[in-house]
Amino acid sequence: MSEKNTALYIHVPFCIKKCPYCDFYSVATLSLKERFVDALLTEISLREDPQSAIDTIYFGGGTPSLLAPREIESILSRVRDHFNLETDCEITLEVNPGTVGPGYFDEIRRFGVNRLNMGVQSLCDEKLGFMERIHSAETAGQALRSARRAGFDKLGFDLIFGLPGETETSWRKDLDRALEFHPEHLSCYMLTYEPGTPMHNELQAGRISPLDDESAASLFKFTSTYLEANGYLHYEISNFAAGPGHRSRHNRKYWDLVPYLGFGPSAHSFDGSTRSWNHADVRRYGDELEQGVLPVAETETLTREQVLIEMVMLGLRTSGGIDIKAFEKISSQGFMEMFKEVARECAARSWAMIVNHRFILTLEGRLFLDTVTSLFAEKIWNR
Amino acid sequence: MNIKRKNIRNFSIIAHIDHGKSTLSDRLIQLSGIVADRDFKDQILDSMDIERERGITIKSQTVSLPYTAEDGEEYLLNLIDTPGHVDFSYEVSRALASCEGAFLLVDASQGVEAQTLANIYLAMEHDLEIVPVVNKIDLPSAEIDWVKDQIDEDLGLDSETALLVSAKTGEGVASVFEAAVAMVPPPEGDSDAPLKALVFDSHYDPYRGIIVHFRVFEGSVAPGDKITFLSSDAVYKVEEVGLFQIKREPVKRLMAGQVGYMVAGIKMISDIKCGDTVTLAGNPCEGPLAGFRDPNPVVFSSMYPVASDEYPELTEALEKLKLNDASLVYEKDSSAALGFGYRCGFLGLLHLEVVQERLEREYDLSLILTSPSVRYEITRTDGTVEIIDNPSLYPDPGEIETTREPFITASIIVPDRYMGAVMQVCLEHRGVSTNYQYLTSNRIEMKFTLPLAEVVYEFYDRLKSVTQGYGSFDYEIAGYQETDLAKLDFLVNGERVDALSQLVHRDKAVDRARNACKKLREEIPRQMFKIAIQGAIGGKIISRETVSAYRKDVTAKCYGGDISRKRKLLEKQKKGKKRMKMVGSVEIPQSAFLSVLKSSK
Repeated sequence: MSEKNTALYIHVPFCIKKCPYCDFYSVATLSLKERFVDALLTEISLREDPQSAIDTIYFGGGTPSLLAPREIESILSRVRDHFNLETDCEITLEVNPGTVGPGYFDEIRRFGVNRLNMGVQSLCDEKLGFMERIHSAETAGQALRSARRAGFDKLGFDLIFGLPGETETSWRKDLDRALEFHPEHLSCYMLTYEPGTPMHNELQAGRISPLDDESAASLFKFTSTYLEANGYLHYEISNFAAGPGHRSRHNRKYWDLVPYLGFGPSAHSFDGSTRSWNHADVRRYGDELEQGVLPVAETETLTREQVLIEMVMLGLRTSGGIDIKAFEKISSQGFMEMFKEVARECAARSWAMIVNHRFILTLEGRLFLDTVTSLFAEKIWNR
Repeated sequence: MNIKRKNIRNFSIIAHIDHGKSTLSDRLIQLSGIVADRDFKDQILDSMDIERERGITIKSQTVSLPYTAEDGEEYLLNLIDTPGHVDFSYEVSRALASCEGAFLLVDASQGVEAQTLANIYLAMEHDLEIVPVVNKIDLPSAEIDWVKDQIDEDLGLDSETALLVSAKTGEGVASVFEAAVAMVPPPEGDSDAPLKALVFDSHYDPYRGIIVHFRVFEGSVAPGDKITFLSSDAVYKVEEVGLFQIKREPVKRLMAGQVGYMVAGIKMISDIKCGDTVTLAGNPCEGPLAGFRDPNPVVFSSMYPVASDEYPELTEALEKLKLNDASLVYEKDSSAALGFGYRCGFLGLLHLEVVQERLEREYDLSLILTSPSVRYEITRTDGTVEIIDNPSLYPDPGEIETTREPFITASIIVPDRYMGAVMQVCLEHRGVSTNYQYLTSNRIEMKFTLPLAEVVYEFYDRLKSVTQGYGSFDYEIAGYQETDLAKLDFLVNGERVDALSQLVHRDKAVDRARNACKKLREEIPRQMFKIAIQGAIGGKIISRETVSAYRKDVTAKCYGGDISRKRKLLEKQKKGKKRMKMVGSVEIPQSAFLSVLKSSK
């Protein structure tokens, strides 16, 4: 895998306000931002690799658009000093539409950011209210228009569906509003009640009655059918692209199990066999880097079994499915020999098909991704 | 310690649950000074977590307290602790047989309860000197005069002699020592006669083997003596004898009248039976002490490890637990659904729960228990009679002539405003009211004949709930009566799950089946397909529930930071599956097996 390009992820752990459904690491105060940026610059220097070939940089969070343009500039210039960037390197910034002022997009574009992922979540104020977002649909619309005006021709939107009481009609209206902006990329996430989040607590306490399984399943299928009819490729469980070239270069690295470098608190790195991650604690992150120590919380080297399980778990998420030949190279055992029963079970339920040596889930099958993954995992464990 | 027989006192404290026995015992220990204050942990005698949590004594412990009385003499006061639950009444009776006196503890706000009565009858059977103690006099709700009236009228004791104490604040506790000296008679017995001693308990020490708790009635015993247990005929050489002073305190010799322990390299718990007589192998006493009987389990259930590969661990754990609990009996059992396990017999439902909890906590096992059953007596059409406690051995109904089930006589004491509610609960449980009497102007003792099987099934919880905790309950076994039994089976997607089968009274079968199906529906997680849950008698389906299939199972997002976590979740699910039992293609969690044992009320 060494000849492949590497992805670089930067986690910006600050938010104006925590969203009740979100389980990514961040703190709702900006007091440590300067210290964080300094520490981040140190981490980038300490982990330098001039031999690398970086073809995507992704600012995620948290709320990366809380970084001032000059902070983004210094971070990117530090990256350029210590890593080798491909000429067409994709540089994405996640943006909360509620955080950007006039001129912001022009400036960051000048510093090299060439793709935006807009945390729109919805273009319906009622839904935004339920999700306790800090922006309205109108603000989001303004931000989108201003990004376009600044010349961004790669815009991605994050949307969430499957809120309590959501219907196909309401979700379709939300989608239609988004489509008016002709985004190059759409991430449509079914609302998940992640353990540890306030929304999960509300659910446990019975104060939220979640959308029933049946309706959530049908919204999921509707999303796929509707967006494909509008010219989008459903290339991963929750991701849609306006064409093959608009698929997220960055996120595909995760699903293809190729190396990536993660900087910032809680960020994960992977070199093809070993994964490590930083402390999910911005103070500790700063402390350790100020002492010249890498703030690594844990490291795990994947066993062959674990690599196989991740190949299945991640491959099944994508429209490319599991690459059977690549799988067999690692398993040294025939794919069909290992998974005959799983394949038969999936075929009987119209959950999967094998095309060009790839095991690919159908739309119905994608609804049962975790079940199918478990079926595969059991076979891998019992090998 | 060299102490004269006339300066020894052997006594128990008997009380209804929650009347403060453990707290009083703790105060007495504290006052005696054998434990430094800083080492003092509340309720020293209840040393098991379960005991402290439930506030009951399961495993009794005994303690010898040195005391200098007002007459200036040194006394040794042996406080023989007793288990505080009806399941263990035989063990209580053996402990009482080792005493000359008993303090009867009555809660100043609760008054006399069913167990108080049962205990006092036991104490009277053993001719003990009974000293009433009114406890919790510090409570605002204490009604000392009312309790004194009960002591006079209900118990027939002299309330003039009653001690007034608050074990909590310590008030009056010292008077218990003086009363022990003044009112409990010293033990009798000839230290020169052949050894005659009573085993009233035992426990296991991993370094010393089984430690026998005993009372010497005649003769004496010292290290080096060869002793024998009359019922088991086992012979051992005594290694150590001594007194219980929280720690074991070795002495040179235990004489007639004393209470203590013995270490004799004993490894076989089957040799040591509560109530057995110990004597010298070379110079035996004439005959055994009266009152011995083999432990008699009344409730049976099979235990299976949730993970089938933990069967050897379960075997080992039961062997170890048995060392501390001679009344636990078990034999191998197997189930199509659950694999290998053990059929266990218990003294009662509480005993069952205690054993289960100890196996899970102390031995880190995860267990599935089958529905508790009593012993049924079945006469076949060919005239043969057999005792059956396991639904899997229940014969074809066509071969059964008659079935009989064990009954109990229950005594329930409640404020009379709950009389109707209690009557209702008893009738629901096939009870027959035999008699009632007013103990005081508003407290009533009700007597019922009830099938033991009904008591095993949630009766006690129901009684507590309808009487808002004011009802007290005690029972004794009262023989067999004819009954109409049915074997209730449960099918999951058409497959019979033998471990869920129950023997029930035919009139109750439909209710039970419906309740259990409902519980199973709540506990069995949705799976890829629809699951039918049915209750059946023979081929006839009498209840049905459905667990619908899930419609989606998909993780919405998975990026860099999620991958390891998601994979670990999968690995965790794999471990979780070890806690599931596969029946056909359906995964049934451990909790589902437990849920059918409880009613929905």
